[in-house]
Amino acid sequence: MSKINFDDYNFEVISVETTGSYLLTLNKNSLTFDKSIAEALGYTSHVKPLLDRENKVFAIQACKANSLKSIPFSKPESQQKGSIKMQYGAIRNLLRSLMGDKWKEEMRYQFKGDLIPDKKAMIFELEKFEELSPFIPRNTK
Amino acid sequence: MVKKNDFGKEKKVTKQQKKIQDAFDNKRKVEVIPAKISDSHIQKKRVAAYCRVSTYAESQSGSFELQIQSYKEKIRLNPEWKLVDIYADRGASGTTIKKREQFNRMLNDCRLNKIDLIIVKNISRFSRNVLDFISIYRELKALTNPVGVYIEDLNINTLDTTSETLLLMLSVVAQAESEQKSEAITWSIIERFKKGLPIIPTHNFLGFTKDRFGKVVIEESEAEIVRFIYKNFLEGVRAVDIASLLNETNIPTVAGNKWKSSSIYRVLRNEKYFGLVIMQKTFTVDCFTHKKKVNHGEKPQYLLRNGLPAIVSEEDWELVQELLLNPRKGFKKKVVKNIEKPRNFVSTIKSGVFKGFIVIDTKWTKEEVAEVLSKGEHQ
Repeated sequence: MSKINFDDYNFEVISVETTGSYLLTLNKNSLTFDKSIAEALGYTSHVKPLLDRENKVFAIQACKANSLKSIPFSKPESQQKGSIKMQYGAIRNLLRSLMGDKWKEEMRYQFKGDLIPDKKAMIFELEKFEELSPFIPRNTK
Repeated sequence: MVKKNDFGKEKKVTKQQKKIQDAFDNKRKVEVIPAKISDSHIQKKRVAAYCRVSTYAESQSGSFELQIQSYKEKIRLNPEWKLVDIYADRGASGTTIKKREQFNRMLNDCRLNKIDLIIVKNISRFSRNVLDFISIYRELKALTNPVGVYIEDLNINTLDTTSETLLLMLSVVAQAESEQKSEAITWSIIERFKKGLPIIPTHNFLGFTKDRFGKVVIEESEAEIVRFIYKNFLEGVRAVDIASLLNETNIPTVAGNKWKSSSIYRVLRNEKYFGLVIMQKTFTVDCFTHKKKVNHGEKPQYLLRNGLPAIVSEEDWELVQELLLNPRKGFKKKVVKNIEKPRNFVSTIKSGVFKGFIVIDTKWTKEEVAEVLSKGEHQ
């Protein structure tokens, strides 16, 4: 077989960007951030979770690992394959409490994020959500 | 043959001169063996581009993206070039290379023989500091695989050109631009000081925050901590003990760190807490080192009385200063028991778009979460 020399061809490198809309899913026991969020925030290793109580807005902002109350977030770009899962009870409880009566124990909820590029932050309005069907583990059918 | 030199003395033609004259008169046949070790025209040139904008401002973000994209395209379209990487720093000053991470990464890649040519838009993007520019340019030139810097708007490659003088002059201009700007800004700040318009950043200032209109106001939850510190110190509690009390109650400093006695002393010494504003307490020596110096009278200072709402009274503050001069003597040695601790403290973001947002602590229990939320409702 003859060796193929790639330089002989006019290959163009096309970077495939994830077009996902920044989705945050609130599951029964965890929070899941889409990979597109990690990408938008530059695969930051840590974020700061923020909350505006009055307007019911949840936000995460990229920060340094030694910042106050920072939590680990993404792996480096080459290693972060899928979405990011978090299991902080405090954050889940806060989000649920702010959703108030609309929240049902068994359901999962999805929020669409808005990127604030200069602040390297993503905000989620807690009043705007989509209710998803409950999560059924694969092996319990 | 006899020739006269500059001093009018007569001098004979040397053997060496004769040889050269002969060589030109009688042509000899010489064969040329072409240089073998010159891969520059066979291999593609490995090219990197460097971009920089000094602020995160919206108006510059366009320029930043444009620089990156146009270089990508430019390098890709040139058949003799191969893109190594685009190195781009945002919000980095040109006067020093210390904080320019990408720039330093690029220099390292040069030293590792990964790059043959660096493209920059103009000299001021590369460096606004003559000393840095010259030392970098010489280092790159002296590498085993010399790296050239191609300055686009002047169409100069530092390897091709022999006119170091020109480059030097241009980099002096780039530096002077920075110096002038820095001077203009300093002037405006001093003029404002003279008119009693202080600059008080509050994002790192315990007890104060700014309202929507930029006016400095007291942040009650933090002012409570300031009063707590002053009150206890006046009652004879040592600074170390105040610090540990605050740490026990999980109240961080405004920067989010643990309290130390030195941070307590800083609060106690700050005259802003009784409303006095001293302007030009520090000054910057020059715009290249960015070094700050405490003003011990090298520059004038400006005082503004009642420039801020007071958190402690002037009398208390004066008393504290007296105690601070000789802490041991001042204290009536008494152990204070049952000091009223400030209640569970929730830190909020003090400035920027997220002003007023609380920082979630992932260690909060369910009860604490409920407490945090109810606090918000009462406010």
